[in-house]
Amino acid sequence: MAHIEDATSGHVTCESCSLASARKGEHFEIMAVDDDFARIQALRFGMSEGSCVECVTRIPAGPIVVMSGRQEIAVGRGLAERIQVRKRHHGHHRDEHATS
Amino acid sequence: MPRSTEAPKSADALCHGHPTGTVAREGVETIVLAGNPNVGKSVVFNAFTGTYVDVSNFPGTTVELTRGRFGDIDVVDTPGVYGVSSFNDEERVARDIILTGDVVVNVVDAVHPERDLFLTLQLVDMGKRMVVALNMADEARKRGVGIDRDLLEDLLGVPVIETVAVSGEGLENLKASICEARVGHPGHDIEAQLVEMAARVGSRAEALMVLEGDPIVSERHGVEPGTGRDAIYLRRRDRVNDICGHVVTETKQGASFSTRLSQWMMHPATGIPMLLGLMYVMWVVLGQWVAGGLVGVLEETLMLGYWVPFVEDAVGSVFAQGSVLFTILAGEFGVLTMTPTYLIGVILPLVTGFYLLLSVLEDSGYLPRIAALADRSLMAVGLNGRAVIPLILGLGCVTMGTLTTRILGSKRERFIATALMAIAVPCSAQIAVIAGLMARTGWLYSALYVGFLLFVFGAVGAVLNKLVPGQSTDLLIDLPSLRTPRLDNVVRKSGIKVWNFMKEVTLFFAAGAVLISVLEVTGSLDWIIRVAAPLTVGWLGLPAEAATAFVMGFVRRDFGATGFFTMNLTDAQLLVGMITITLFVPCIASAMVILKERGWGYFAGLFAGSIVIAFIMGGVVARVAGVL
Repeated sequence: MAHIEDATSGHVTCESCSLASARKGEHFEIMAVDDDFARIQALRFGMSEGSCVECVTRIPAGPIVVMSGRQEIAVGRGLAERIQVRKRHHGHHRDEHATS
Repeated sequence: MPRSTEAPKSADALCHGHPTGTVAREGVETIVLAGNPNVGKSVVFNAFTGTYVDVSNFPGTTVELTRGRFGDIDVVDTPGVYGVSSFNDEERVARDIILTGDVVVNVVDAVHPERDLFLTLQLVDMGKRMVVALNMADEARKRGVGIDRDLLEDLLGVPVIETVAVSGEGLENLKASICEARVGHPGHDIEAQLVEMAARVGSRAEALMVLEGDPIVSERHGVEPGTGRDAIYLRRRDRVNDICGHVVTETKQGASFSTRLSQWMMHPATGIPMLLGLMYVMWVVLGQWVAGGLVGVLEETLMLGYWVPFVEDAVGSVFAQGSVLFTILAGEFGVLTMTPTYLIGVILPLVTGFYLLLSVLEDSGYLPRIAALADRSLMAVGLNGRAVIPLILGLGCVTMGTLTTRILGSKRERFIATALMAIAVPCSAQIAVIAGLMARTGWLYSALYVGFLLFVFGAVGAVLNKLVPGQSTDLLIDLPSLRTPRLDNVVRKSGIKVWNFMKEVTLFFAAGAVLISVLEVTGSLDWIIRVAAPLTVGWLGLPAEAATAFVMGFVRRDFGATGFFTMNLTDAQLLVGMITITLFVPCIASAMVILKERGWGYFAGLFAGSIVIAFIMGGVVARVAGVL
């Protein structure tokens, strides 16, 4: 499993921001979902606070599509803005998952 | 634990040879199927009951409940839900059915255990006797997902059966396992509270609902809803992740073709051309091949060439031509002439073609991707991408589309989507008749027709978005795996839909034909034609007889469009007529559903609004098209 070092990601890393700023290929840890229904629904999908997702597509002006486990989930832009995430670096969350 | 692989011959034979002692045989009365959307529940239901029900790859299709029999046992299919609670109608329905069920068969998608086991653990915590069907085992293997079934069975404490429902694999095992259904191992942290609450409300399942803060179940028992939902859910999520960590092994594969295809479908740069390509294919298949070719043969050669002269002769030999009964049976709008001509000659072939294409779309998993692609555009009319589901189903049948608005997140969205469908979305039968008529004109008029409808759709939507109070919800939708639809599934499913649709259409067409004929023989029709002349001739630039079509349009819009068949119209007049009748009042069947789902006030407003919009737009089109 290849680790990609921080230095190789060409832009400023975001330590705490909204999912709406996600770019394709980036990995995030979900920090908080500021919407009662969406928080519960995301939790059911497996995208709970504390879990890791990968941004697979960013539809211009539209939803952010993330991969949570093997599940693709489309998140409307407005909702994505209310989801606080912390950027992770590829590979880390897998190691963590294996030891949890 | 021995498990028979023999098919039970009947319910009596079902549990013989299974002296497990853990289950009271006579206790099995109702089996409830529960699972997330698109996990193959309906196919499993079919395997139990032998009757085919709607199976699709789209979240939210099974709005209605389906009941069947498995020997002497009742089997109930529930709407696909991600959890048991009261967030929407489907969850409320599923919750109540699950609460009353004796045994739950929980169908789990083996490809997405992290998502599906959340519901499983909730059912386990509810203390339901249950069996887990680990479905789509073949797809999981293909995608490199391995699940340790034995270990999962141990961790959950209930039988876990691997199945591939679409091919029937493992279904006999599943049926046999009903006898071994049992209560699983619950999460321990709320055990004490659960036992205490169960003593107050009567059952463990309802106690869990109360603790999770379900307002409806709490009210039923006169207790305060619990406040611990988030904590309970989080711990359940942790337990799901823990179980998955132990039982799931994944051989990570690179981005497969379907992953890339999925992204192409959703990105505007590639997704819009794909969508346009799809629409072009639909136009070629439905508009050219079916409407142009098949309908020509069926309608003109078979129905008008053989059937109508035959009926006219037969009826004419009993009742004199021109008599009241002759007119009703075999006249211009005759029950035996016009009704079967359009039903068999025009509507049947096009509706069949349409539902076949729709089923392919549903089963392929393309629809939710269109939802993601269209999200931004639909926000302009106060909806989110999810609304493409009811809207596209509305193209099949507005009644079905209206029922499916239940999957939308807010009352405001249901309000807007229902209105848009009733006004600007033609149903398949109507498209059938209109395609038949428009096939006579050039492609320009077809394009103008679609363009005007899209304009009205956008304009009405934008206005409603401004006027309707409340807040629309944001898109949050899970995208099912892309699959190649199975031909047998598609054919059986569309067959059932076409059959149900045609039954309803036939009834309304026949009733409408009688009504129009009665108006004709009593002279009322002539009176209406004269009175409406300023509107039809003066404003719309159509022949005076067009009033007949609008009267027919009150019965059904497709029936109304049929009224234009016999008039000799110019291409421009045809366009005006088609647009006006499309925007006209919804058919009686969908009007009933709208009334039931949205109430009188909404219905009256919609009815009046659609007539006003239809005639205003018709007049505008008439002027634009230069008819006058």
